[in-house]
Amino acid sequence: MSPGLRKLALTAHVASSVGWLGAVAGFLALSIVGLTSRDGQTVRSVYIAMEPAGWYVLVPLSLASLATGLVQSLGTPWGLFRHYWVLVKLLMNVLATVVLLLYMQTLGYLAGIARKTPLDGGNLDALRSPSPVLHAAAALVLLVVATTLSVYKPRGLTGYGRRKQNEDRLRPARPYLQASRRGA
Amino acid sequence: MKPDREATATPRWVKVFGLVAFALVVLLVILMLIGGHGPGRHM
Repeated sequence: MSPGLRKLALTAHVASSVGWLGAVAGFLALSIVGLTSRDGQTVRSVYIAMEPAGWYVLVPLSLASLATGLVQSLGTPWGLFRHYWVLVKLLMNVLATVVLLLYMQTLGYLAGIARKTPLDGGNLDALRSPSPVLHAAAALVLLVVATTLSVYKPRGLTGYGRRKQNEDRLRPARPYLQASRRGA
Repeated sequence: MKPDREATATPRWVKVFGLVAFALVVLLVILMLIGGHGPGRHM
């Protein structure tokens, strides 16, 4: 990738990944309100709002983060399987995206109940669920860890990365480099 | 010549991540087996 394209891809990856983290933080706040509020209308609104927030914000940002991460790693010398931190981030991103897509079923179910059920007394308690709070909190921890890995980039080459590094060292220098070394 | 152990060994942080991931997978499997977790739980 050219330096300009590389910066554009990096910007897209940082924006989608950090945007995903921020959206999950907002979702966590909504789910805490849904679990703790004493006002039936508020609880109903929160569980109804969670489904479109998931489909139109969380899912697109997670897929964008995954896609731009793949472009970023495959289009730069970092590679996808050479460094442990890149590999760990890839696994975390895939895991979070798959769990999110599966969890959309639960959010759809909770939104359906919120739309249909008259929310008074016991019905309100039946709708309240700690599940969105737990899932959003776990996602937030995972995304903060992924962000930390991106910034610190801890050392460590995988077996594949070491082999590739050795191959690169043994590869003869390009003709124009040899010419420049000879002073041409 | 001996290979550089530090360069070839798996870093400690990767081992810690692996252990944490393994513990979480075991916890999830246990929760799913006792019916306390999974996409079908609320249906």
